[in-house]
Amino acid sequence: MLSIVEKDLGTPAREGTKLVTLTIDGTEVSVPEGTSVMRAAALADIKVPRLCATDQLEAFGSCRLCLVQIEGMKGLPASCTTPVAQGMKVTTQNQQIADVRRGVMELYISDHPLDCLTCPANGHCELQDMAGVVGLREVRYGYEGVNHLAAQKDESNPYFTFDPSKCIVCSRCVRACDERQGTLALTIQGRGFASTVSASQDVPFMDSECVSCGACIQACPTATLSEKSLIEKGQAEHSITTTCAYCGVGCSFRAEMKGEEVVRMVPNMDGHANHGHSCVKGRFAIGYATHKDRILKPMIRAKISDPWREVGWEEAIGHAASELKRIQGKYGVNSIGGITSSRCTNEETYLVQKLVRAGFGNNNVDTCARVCHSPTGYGLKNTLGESAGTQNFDSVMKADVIFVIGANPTDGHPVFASMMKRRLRQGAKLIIADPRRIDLVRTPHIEADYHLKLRPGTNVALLDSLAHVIVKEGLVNEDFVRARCEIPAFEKWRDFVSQERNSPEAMESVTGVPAAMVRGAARLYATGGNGAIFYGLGVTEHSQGSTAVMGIANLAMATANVGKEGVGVNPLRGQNNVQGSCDMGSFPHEFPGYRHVSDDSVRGSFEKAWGLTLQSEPGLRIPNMFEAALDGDFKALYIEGEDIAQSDPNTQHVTAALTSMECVIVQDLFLNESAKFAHVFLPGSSFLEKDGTFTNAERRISLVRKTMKPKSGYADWEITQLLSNAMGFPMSYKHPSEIMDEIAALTPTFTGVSFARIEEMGSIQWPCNPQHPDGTPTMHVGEFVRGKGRFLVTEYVPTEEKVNARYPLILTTGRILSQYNVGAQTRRTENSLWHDEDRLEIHPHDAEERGIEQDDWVGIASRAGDTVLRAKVTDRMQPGVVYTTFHFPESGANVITTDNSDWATNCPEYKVTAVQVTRVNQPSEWQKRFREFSEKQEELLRQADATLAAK
Amino acid sequence: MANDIGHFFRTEPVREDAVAAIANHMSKYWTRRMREKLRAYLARTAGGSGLEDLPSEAFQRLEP
Repeated sequence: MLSIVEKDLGTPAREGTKLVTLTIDGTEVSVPEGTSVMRAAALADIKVPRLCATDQLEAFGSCRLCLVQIEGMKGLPASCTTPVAQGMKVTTQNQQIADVRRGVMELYISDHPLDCLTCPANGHCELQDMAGVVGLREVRYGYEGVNHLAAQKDESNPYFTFDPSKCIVCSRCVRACDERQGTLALTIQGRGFASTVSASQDVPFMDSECVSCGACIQACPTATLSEKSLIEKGQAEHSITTTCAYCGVGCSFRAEMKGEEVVRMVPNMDGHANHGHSCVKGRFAIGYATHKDRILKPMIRAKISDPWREVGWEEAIGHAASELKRIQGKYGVNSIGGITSSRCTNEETYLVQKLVRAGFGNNNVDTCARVCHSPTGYGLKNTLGESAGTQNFDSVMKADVIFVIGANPTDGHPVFASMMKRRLRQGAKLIIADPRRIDLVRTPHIEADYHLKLRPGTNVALLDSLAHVIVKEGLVNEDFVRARCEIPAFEKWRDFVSQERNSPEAMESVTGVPAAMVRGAARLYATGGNGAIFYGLGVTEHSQGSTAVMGIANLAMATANVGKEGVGVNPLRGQNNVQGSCDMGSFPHEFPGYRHVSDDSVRGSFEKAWGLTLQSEPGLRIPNMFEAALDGDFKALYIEGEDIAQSDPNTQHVTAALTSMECVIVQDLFLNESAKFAHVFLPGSSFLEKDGTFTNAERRISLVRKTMKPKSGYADWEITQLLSNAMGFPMSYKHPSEIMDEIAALTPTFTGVSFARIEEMGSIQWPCNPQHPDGTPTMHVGEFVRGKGRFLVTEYVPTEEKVNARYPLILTTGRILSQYNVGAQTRRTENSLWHDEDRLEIHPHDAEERGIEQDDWVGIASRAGDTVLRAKVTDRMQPGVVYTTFHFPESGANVITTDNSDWATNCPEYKVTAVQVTRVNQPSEWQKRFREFSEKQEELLRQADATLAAK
Repeated sequence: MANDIGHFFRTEPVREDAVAAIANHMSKYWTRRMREKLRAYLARTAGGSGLEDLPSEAFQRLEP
């Protein structure tokens, strides 16, 4: 069912400059060539009845309701499948057409339950609407004949119901799964009257390949496929457009509401990033926002072994500020700091860094991008000149060769993956570099031309050998390089990659990838037309993460795959606002807009605006904070919306650092793992409870709109403001739009950005300034941001994390579709039905050698620690490599990962940990301690609840 | 970490450029605390620090 506020024009828009003029019911209409008669009529406000047509999908022509008369054409053609023609004369209403339509509707209704008053689609059902439109007054066939009215509902999916008794077999769901999602999980089985919609080979939805993206529900014209929330709550009464708080795709949604209650989330057809598509997280997994685990009252305690005490906001903020000031007085101005989050809005992030730089008086601010995409910022800034991806998502539809390295878009960025798959089904070529056989390697109607199954930790070696082939085989675009890049730097790079030691043959023993495949992939990327590179944390989370990002930029520059549509260097950001949190000056060395704190002019502009002197030295990064805490120099930390105790590597090191601090302030929705080490808990607000903006992976700034009042009383930006005021640095923003106005005034790439402008345009891709008043979908057109593009020499340096006889396997980590990051949100939804524990994926050969069978408990030991998970034996892995996700804190995935990090940015090397795996029969010692500590902390929380109840 | 930075720049054909780039990196991205710790470590382990030539030379150029 489409959103309650969207208008469906029947068939998709056609691009094109050539206009065709026709007459419909006497009205002259001009539309782009290729447009359907149905859409042309809709654009002229002439409604043609329809059931199988929707502008979400290509026309199908099966329902026979949209028949029209066209002068000079025989019979009554379907308006959805008939393209317009110059001079065409169309009649949409006359007696003959009305009779046919009414007859068609009689047939439909003769096999449809007459339960409209109790149907969840009542009032928003296309079948009901069409019955009214055609003037259906009787069904001459009666209702007693053979029918489908007794067909059983499929309730297996936690989020939606499939009721085949209401199905009119219009195939919209099947086509949505094919065309929009690209999973092809649905089909029409049987023939003629026996035709029915079937998930996979007629199995329950939960047992099929269905990924619960919801495209079928959105496409369904009846209540056959309905959200369970809609069935339970009834039709929404109003809709608020906002932006998803999950991954870096940044989908636009319409929150359909009843008062302050969300009935359902419907992806926005006008959404610039997602164009009306969604995934199981964004559409369905919002139950966490109202979950019973949410903490809605501030709490304080003196020691982490004390029970929490619920207090009012004034006392909590006063206590936090007093502690921060006490600690600075005792240990010095640099003894405290703050961490911003990619799950918070730009405005909230900006305020936290402002509080730290101005209110705390130091630059000890960092963000969770430290542990994911900090190498992207470093690598792209130093080569292309800007710390951001080069394209918009739509650009992929003009790519001829898609090179995915170290990313798993179908799990991590599913809505963009659907668009990518659409392009691949159109014939674009695909290169994948990944140690695992990710789903994209072979999925319906798609098979990678090259799967470069490299060993973890050898990205740079692979990129250098790809570059070697491009240079040695004369595939460099010399004209582009000469015109657009620094020649001495290019020559240095060219001479380096040309060396025999960088050839695919020489690197084969390092990467494990056959040289012939590397050569083939390099030739394809360099000569296959528009080449677009998409990468993720499989590139950045390495000791050479920044080097690999530079290697990618080098390849794009060498082959002229930058500065136009269909190409580019595209980091797929893990969380919804990774790009934004970095843009907003969350790193300790940079002000908003990626400008160094030592730059007197930049710093001067902030000093003038904020009215005080700022430090010119970079502050502590997150790992520096931990070290300083363990050394006794860093004593207090304000963490907004981030869970370092679960997400950061070497958990025991992190928790030791937290334990050594005197005041840990956590602002979050839940008592997360870090909050168990906190002294002050400030209850935060979900994305549904506040205004602001998120910036997605394509630099697109979109509005987050408040759908309900903050459940704790304050939005996160207000809490930071309260803390700042209590610290003695006054802030008096009335609305986040005022914060964005300040950001725009101080940041050259944002000068044209305001809430009003975003509202007007729908979204804006920065840079947005006088040079780019409408934003910048494609960067580096004509000239790189830094002027000339700079090639950098990227020598492969093996990680120090080596396998040996004691730790013979390499562990690499990643995400899964149904869960998100540390799982704090998705674990509190029905998404856990798909993934309720982290598993260790291991190749059958490695499993057999160790006597490990499917579902066995296995111990995973590394140099940093050990944990226990259940095994999933799968040939998706290559021998010698094991894999796990990190969505459940009790898994202790980061107990195993080490302190190794990227040489330039300290981004942890999550992707390479040498381990041994053995069969075990009990949890690890860490897990036992974790369980005991967590139970104790939960008890201390219950004591706070009990105290309140007693009052 | 200083050695890791050195490893990135060691392919720079002009030694002076490599040393300057390493010094610039340490200056722009390292905190004063990191520099102080390395200085203290070098003082403690004179001659046997394990710090390689390039980062060592670069580090000496940084102001205390």
